[in-house]
Amino acid sequence: MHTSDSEDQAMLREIVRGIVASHTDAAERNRIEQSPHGFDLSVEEALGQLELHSAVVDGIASLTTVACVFEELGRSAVATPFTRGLLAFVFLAAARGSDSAIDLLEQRGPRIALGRRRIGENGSPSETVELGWADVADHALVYSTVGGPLLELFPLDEAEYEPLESFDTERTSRVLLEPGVGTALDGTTLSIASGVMSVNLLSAAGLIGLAQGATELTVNYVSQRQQFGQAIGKFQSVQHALADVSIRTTGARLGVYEALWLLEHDKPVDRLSAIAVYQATVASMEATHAAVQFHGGIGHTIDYGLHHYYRRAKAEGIRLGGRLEALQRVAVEIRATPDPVVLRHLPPRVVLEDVAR
Amino acid sequence: LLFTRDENEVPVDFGLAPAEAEYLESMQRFFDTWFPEKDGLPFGEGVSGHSPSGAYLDDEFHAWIQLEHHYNERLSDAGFRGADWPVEYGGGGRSSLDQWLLMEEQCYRHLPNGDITIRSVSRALMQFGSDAQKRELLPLILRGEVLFSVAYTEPDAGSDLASLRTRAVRDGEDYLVTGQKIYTTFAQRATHIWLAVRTGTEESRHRGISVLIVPVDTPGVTIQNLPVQGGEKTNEVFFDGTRVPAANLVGNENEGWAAITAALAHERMQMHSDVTRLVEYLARWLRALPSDMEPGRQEWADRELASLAADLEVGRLLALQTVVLMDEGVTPISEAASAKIWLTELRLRLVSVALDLIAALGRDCTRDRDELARFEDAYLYAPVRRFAGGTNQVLRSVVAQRGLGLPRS
Repeated sequence: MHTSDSEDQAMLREIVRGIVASHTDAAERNRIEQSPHGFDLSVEEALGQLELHSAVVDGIASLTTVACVFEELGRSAVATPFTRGLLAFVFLAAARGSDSAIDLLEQRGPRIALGRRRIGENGSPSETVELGWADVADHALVYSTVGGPLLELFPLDEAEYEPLESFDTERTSRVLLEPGVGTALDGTTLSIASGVMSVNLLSAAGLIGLAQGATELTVNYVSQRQQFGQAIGKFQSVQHALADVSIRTTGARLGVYEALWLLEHDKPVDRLSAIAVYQATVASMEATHAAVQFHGGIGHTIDYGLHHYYRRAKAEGIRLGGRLEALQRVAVEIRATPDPVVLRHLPPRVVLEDVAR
Repeated sequence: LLFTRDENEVPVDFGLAPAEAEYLESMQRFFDTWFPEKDGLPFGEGVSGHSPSGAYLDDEFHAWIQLEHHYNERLSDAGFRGADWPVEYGGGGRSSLDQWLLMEEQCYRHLPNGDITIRSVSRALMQFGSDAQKRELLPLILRGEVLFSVAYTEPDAGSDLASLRTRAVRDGEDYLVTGQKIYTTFAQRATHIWLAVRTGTEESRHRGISVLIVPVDTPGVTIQNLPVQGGEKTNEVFFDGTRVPAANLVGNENEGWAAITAALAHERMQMHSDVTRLVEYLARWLRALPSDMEPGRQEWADRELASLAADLEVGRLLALQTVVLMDEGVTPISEAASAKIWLTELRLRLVSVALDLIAALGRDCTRDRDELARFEDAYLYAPVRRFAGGTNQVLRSVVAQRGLGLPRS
């Protein structure tokens, strides 16, 4: 077992950090948010050149490798259509086996936005879907588990958008995509479940990155900021609170990577996946709350840029369903397990095989 | 281009290697054969050193010591004791992960799991002890025939250990030791005391501390039980001009601080705990409840359990990370502190929540008396873990300064 990066993963992180380096400048980041597109075109292009989509489809890039990218983008609080498109490809790769899905993967060209049908009126799947960055996508991949698994692909060229006010820098729209009108892909309940888990865990990796980035900014700030004649980072009240944040983030991060690893190796992962998403949600909340608290007034100014972390952590958490929903899923998973055996060390283990998938 | 990786290079890996899985199975077979769980637990609830009755040196405790002695011999014969010690000291040369798997398994089965002598003191001894000390003591430690009790804390030197005052003065070939130690756990069963003494000036702090090995039957050593809630076997130990051979000095005079910190660091590494088993007990108890409860109660009980189980997973991963780093040659100071803080805080929260749940849902608690007693005992003992072996407040400073790089206060 080892939990650190491979050389490739470490290199990939370096590259991603280099690509988004301009985002460490708060003024530049604010300018991008206010721009018509809402994202940095040059960053988008540079990330595209990594050809991660192909690597995901060909099974060369592992889920944990993709998670490194999400974590690094989170660390810089970067919002970009690139991540939504990549999530769609990860979802499709997880739902492999369907001819139409494979056809689509082989084209690899389309920019895809990923969306989920929620429960609409009278309990049926909703007719509208919220999509991230739909204005720069040409297809939407929409999944639903309401009333049976459904996985559909829609062209977006003639779709009607209603742009939504976003809590953070993510651009979202509500799009009318009636169920059954798109091209149905053969998604089974299992493959859709794997797809959902993969994309949720990758988003959770982004949350971990946000927690880390906010904590790094804070450590830096409290080490410089002088009050009462000393750096405020010397006060135990500050140190201990940040220590707790860091411990939680480290633990949540390990959970996310372990769940991705288990998923990729076809091990039972439902419960750990729910736990990892829950812990990532909590960690990103605690880290960003501590960050704004220890920054004080400066952290609230638009010029400083911490607000990108604070807003995005909550907004991404909500997109994942929020902390309470995540905890509820953990509770459901525990109840669904025949015997309340908890994961004791590492797979492979006999008890694990007994846990109903 | 980026992703044409070497087949042999493994990215993040959370699996057990076949040899590790095999080792785990071999220990499970061993425990199933020799110390099976029948009529409750093989060692009762008192494994961590607390007996439900809280009695001192009573028959129950004597029986427990006998059983543990037998247990250590069996472990030693099977090569499980000192499995991760270097081969040159008679150990198995196994990895930290292997050792952690062993301790987790023991802990889960409520079996004694790597006492402080074999995990912590012996490691400092290997690093700082004289050849004669190592030759004499290490083989006996491996057999479980030498057991240390660690004597650092004094009435006025707790977390601020560098202020300790128990004095050792050189007198020919001996030291004369005078002073008092407190919370010297298991001294009444130990063969030796691992004693921190002041050999430098009063103001010398950590630069004037030495470590002495003192057999418990040395004249002038008085061990007095100190009853505590939870029944842990702890003591006050008095030294009254106690004569200890200078040959029993570990390392050089006034350089004992390094041995103490090394031993303490080993105490915190490979963290493991019986939290896992307690969460399982609670989950089983909740599951066995009748389904006709007041609406809503089941749901909030489920969510409390979910929150505990989610934090348990984090604890397991933090502990694992420490072990993995050790096998990669890193000394995981901040990581070990993190695992210790998390697991000990979780333990108290767990037993407290468990008692609340039993109170709220148990209806007739006497029917579930066993469960209630288990969590009540655990509740009394749980606070100790948060401050023993380095209090969590000091450890948070360690995480902040060594882990996050915040300035020293």
